[in-house]
Amino acid sequence: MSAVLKVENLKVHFPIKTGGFLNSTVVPLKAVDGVSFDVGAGECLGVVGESGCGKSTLGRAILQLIKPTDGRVLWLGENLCDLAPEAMRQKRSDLQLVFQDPLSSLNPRLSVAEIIREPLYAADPSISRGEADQRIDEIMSDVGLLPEMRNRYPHEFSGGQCQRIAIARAMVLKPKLIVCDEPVSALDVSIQAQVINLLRKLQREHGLSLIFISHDLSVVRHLCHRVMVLYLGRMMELADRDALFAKPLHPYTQALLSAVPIPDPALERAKEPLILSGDLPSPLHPPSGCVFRTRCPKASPKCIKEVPAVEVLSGGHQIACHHWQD
Amino acid sequence: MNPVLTLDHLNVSFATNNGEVSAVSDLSLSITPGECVGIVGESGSGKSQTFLGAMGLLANNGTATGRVVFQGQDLLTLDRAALNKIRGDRMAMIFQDAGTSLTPHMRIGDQLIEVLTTHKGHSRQAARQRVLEVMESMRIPEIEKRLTQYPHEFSGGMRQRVMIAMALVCEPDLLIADEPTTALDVTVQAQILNLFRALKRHTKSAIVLITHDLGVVAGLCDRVAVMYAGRIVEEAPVADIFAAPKHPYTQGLLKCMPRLDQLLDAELDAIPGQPPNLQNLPNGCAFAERCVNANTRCHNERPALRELSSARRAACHLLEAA
Amino acid sequence: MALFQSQSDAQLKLMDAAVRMRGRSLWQDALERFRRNTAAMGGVIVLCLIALMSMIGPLISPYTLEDLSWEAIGIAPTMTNSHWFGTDDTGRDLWVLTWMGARVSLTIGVMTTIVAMSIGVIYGATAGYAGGRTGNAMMRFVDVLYALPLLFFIIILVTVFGRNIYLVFLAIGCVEWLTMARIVRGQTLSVKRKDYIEAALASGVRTGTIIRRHVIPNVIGPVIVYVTLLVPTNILVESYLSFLGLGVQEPLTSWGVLISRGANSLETAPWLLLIPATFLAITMFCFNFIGDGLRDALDPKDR
Repeated sequence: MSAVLKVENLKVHFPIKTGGFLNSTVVPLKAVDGVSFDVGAGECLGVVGESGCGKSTLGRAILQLIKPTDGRVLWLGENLCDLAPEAMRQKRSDLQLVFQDPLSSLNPRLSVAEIIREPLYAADPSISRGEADQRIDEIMSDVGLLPEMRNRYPHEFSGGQCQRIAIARAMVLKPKLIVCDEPVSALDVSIQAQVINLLRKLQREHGLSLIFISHDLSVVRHLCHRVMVLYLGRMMELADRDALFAKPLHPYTQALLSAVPIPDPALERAKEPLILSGDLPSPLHPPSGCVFRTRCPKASPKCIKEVPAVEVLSGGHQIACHHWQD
Repeated sequence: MNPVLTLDHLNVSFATNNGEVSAVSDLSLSITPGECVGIVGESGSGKSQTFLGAMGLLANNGTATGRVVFQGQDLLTLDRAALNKIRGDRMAMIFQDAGTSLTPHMRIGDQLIEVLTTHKGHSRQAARQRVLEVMESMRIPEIEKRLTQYPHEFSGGMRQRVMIAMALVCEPDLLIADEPTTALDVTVQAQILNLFRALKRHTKSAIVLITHDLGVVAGLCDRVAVMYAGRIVEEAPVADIFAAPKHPYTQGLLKCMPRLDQLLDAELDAIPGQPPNLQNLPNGCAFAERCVNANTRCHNERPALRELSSARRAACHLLEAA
Repeated sequence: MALFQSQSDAQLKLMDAAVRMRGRSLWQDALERFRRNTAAMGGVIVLCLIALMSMIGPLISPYTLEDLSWEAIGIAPTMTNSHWFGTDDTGRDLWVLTWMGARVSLTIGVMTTIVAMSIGVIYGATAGYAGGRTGNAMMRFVDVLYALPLLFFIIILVTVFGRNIYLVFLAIGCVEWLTMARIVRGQTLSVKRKDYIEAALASGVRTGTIIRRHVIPNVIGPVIVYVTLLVPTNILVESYLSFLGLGVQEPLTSWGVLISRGANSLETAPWLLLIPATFLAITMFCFNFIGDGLRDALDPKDR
């Protein structure tokens, strides 16, 4: 599988003013701090982490909706960070985004057809009305919406259907990569399954590459080929799905997996949960050395001093921990 | 054993611009002392409104009818003052969003102590002692310092702990937790769930856990009631409901979830369609539209919640035939 | 795939009834709510009547603006000689004056508001969407203009260019757009954070199109409400100006002119004040009712 997207040492820092009126200083909030990975054609990469780990920022930085501070985003070999705004605008038909909150991602004043038509016109202003309508009908039935609903408005749909509209909008240009930012978190369980099935179907039928950002490990396990675990803007572990879920190496991944409640009383009660102490540190003042050390059961003095380097093991399993072999 | 709380034909409805909307219909449920009951449902199923209605905490346009018997008293007939005496003392509630349930301009310690001085008439000294005890059982580090801080200085997980502590200081007989971990990160959720587990072992209070997460229910609850469109569709002991769900909705819910402990290399068994619109509920079974096996009777006649065995109830015509 | 098929079948069944109904946009919903609001609809009807009368009122009277009835100076409202609203102290017919005044006052109210709205919406939306330094600089400029007293500004304009009704439009419009710009900017800032703006950006939609299609339609609700409240304000401003002798010039008249002259003869001929003042008050009420109705209709959550 050849990589379509290569992200190298990506950094996104936001300047944050702290302190009072007289002694204010600017501190960089390191939302994403030196993350590297690649995504193959037709591959689904899961990005997992808790709030404040920078997973949403990462998705937007790849799409250049937030300018990265440093690093490179190579799309088919071309660095997107260097492109002029107009050149980037033309690339956008290849790269799309699906949001968490389906209702707020659709303009309430536009009908479904208008919403889906917009990217078509943006990419090709000369497209004929008839052709646009045909593409809209096609994509609507593709995502499980009746084309007859084209003149209705977002508020007339349920959350699950709105997410289908958002997916149709992202798919209508036949993109090669879609960044899905928690696309099912806002949906009810029974609707979640429908949207997950839809994403899975579209991904397979169209050979799409997906970056699936989620905090729900069960969904990620079901949908993704490879999984990257982020913590406070840094990559902790990246591995094939089966390797990661069968034998997580990083203490954080282990804790994350053990924290997910299993819907089976016998298993859930027998499980000896690995419970992390404390809360996530503020991303404004991340711990020195390894950012996870304040909650890590294996933390040692070395973890305070040195940032662990990313090691690449067999099978492309990547890990950033001083003590993963212990 | 006498139930601590009995909901008897409870109805909750809201007056809206488009007419009356019924959020909870004809719901009966009882909770015995010391047990943990899980109320499971999707958004709009009425799981939160049931208990908000029971506690007299509905929004202004909402009304609750029926009977809510708490330790022999019908809560729906009580006035505000009498209700306030019970709420927070013998009966406590924890909400999803802990941030908005704490007063932002009061120190955490003072807020906790105030609960005890108003409800139990404790002296400040005695109240403080009790607060320290409870906070310690919540595994909050540096308690003394924490008590002098304000809510905004607490993280989400810490605030939820404070809320639980606040609910527990008066040793209530009934604790209602409405999605207590939904707003939290997974690792913090694990901490809070662990607290609940300890709580179940060490206190006598009954716990009602309202959630959409079946995993949380599996780990904590003794009994589960599944709600759909304002009604209980199935009620059973926790082991039974996971091992052998009877109602098609419960079955669908369990089947459609991807599971962390299993790899399914196929499509999920999704429940088709959407939950019904509460303003426009069908005459028959509310789930019939989405049920694979629904027949004409399901569409025309609403199934009653019937006893299947001593501890199990379900509302489905198909079970009757079988 | 099979499963997916069955899903859309089930949906087909569910949606069947609903599909026959054409989609209703938020605008249609708002219109429906507005129609059900009695006070607001009453306001619309009364306002239309006043506007209609301002057009045909002077025509049905036998008198014109220039006619001076020497035999009937300062008479009270009467049916006998077609001086339905009476006459003023120079013998001009108050019926004609009132409706001619309505023409001028309503035109000024509407025109100045259109001027204020056009400048305010475009300026505010641009400042809000641009944000950052550009947006801040644009709003500081507005702050500076705010600091200029309206009256001072208009007196300068009038002394430089002379008295002229178009100048009054321009002067009032140029001052009132400031508040409009602030409102629009605030709304734009909140709309800008919505995901659908980011979605449009991610689809490669150009900035101009985003402002036109996504920002303005979603900020226009509060703007419409403010506009209906701005019309009566501007009518009042014109009244002040006329009262001070800076407004429209004789023989042209406006409600403000009539009221100011009526106030001088309050004891001898009270109808000269009361009749135009009543119409002004009714118009204010109508616009305020309409404004309230629109706010309720466009923003049902606020009720």
